[in-house]
Amino acid sequence: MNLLVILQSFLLISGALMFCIGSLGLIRFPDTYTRIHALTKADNLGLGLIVLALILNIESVALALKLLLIWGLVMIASALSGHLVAWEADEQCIPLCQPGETEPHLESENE
Amino acid sequence: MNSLYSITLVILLLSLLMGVFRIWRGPRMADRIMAAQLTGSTGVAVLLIFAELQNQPAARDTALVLALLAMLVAIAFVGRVWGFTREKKDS
Amino acid sequence: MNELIDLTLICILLGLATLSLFTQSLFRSVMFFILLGLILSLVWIRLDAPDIALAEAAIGAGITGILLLDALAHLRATSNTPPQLLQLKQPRFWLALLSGTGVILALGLAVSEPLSPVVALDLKVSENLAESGVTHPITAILLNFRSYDTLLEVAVLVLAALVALTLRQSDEHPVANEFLPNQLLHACLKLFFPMIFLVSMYLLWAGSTQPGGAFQAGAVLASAFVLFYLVGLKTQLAQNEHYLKRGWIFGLAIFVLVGAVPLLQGQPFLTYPDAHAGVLILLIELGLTLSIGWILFSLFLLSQSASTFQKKDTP
Repeated sequence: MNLLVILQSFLLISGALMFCIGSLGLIRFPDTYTRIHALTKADNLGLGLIVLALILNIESVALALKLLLIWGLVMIASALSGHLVAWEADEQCIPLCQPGETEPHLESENE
Repeated sequence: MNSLYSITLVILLLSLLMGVFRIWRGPRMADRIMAAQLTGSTGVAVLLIFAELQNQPAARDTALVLALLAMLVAIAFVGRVWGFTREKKDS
Repeated sequence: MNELIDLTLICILLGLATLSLFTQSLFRSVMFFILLGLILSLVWIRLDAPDIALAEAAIGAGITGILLLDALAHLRATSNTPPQLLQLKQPRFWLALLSGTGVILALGLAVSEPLSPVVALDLKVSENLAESGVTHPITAILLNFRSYDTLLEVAVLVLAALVALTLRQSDEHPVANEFLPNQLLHACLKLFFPMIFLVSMYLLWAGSTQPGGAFQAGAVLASAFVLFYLVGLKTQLAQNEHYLKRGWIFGLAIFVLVGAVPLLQGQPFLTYPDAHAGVLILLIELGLTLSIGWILFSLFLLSQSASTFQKKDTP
């Protein structure tokens, strides 16, 4: 029992920290493409860890499957939207940032 | 156990705040859409934890709906808003 | 710790509301508004109001966001035309002003009325729950105890769709819908469409025993239709105005029909026979789900290009 709680707390906290890392990447990374990279990985793993931790608590198989389904759906959705945004960004020729370079400051670009 | 859930929730809400900052900051529309996507997934995680913390099974249904509709905004954005700017550039 | 969570939620909510009102860029404020819907559904769950949270998640984070983004595309299309001046000579301006002031005055009067003595409504509901045919109190209230209200709400939705129809005929700058040539998108959507329909029906079915019901299911269904349309798949059904209108009144018609049957036996309108109440409520909810989904989709569809639409009075 005690081991279970320790495992759960480890999974929960690391999942939440994963989300934080994703958001941090979203803020710190220099251009659109790298930001997509930061985000699609972090939220899949973060949600996965949290779902695993919650499943350990649940007796019914149906509920556990529902949680797994939610995780799967979020994974597909974020992969899809990451791909779509990258696709359109490429189509619109949004520039890449070279290493060491910072993104040119643009305020409300074509909005 | 409940205090553990609460700590996780606080960290998640902090990450949500960071996502909001990216939407505010931009600078491109694509960044805002991606940040909205991240806050959507964070919202799903928060709902799942609320379901445990408050013993509210319907929160899982809400999370299911959110997970299904999360990509709608991205698709609508790519199809409608960006599609229009592309047309303008061509002409 | 609990106070910290509540405080953070409140801060995010207030901050988002302020930001979405006061940012200069329209796109930014639309994004903030979509996020506001998401946070609001978290807050409703926190306040133990799962029915509203479900509706907010389906409508606020889904359909409203798409409608606003669509409106943004329209604004872009019309941004080169000068804004039309308010025409003071037209009688309809004064008519609108008068009726608006009248409504505000009437509402003010209603608010200033002294409150009627407090009735323990929750106790009354739980006393009569066994007769309603469902076990979830909110569904019992919506479709049995106060079914008149729900009937009128659906009628208001139909009215909104009709208004959208009239507005579309005066729209001079329709935005074209384009086919999105992306293979991954189409492969994923093949997986997502059945899921969305399934979840919509699940919410409908769950409505009789737990949070869920026709409005939430209808909103989820509408987002499936909108998704169908957004990726460029056009349905024959949506191109014909007659099918469109029939879809709008379908749920309302079922509701009125089921409600009118007791009249033949001399009972008041909208009383269900006790033995079949559960089945009848499910039937009404199924009709309402399809109609609400169709109406919400129509609101989106009617803002589209008129050329995708077969109209009789234009060549």
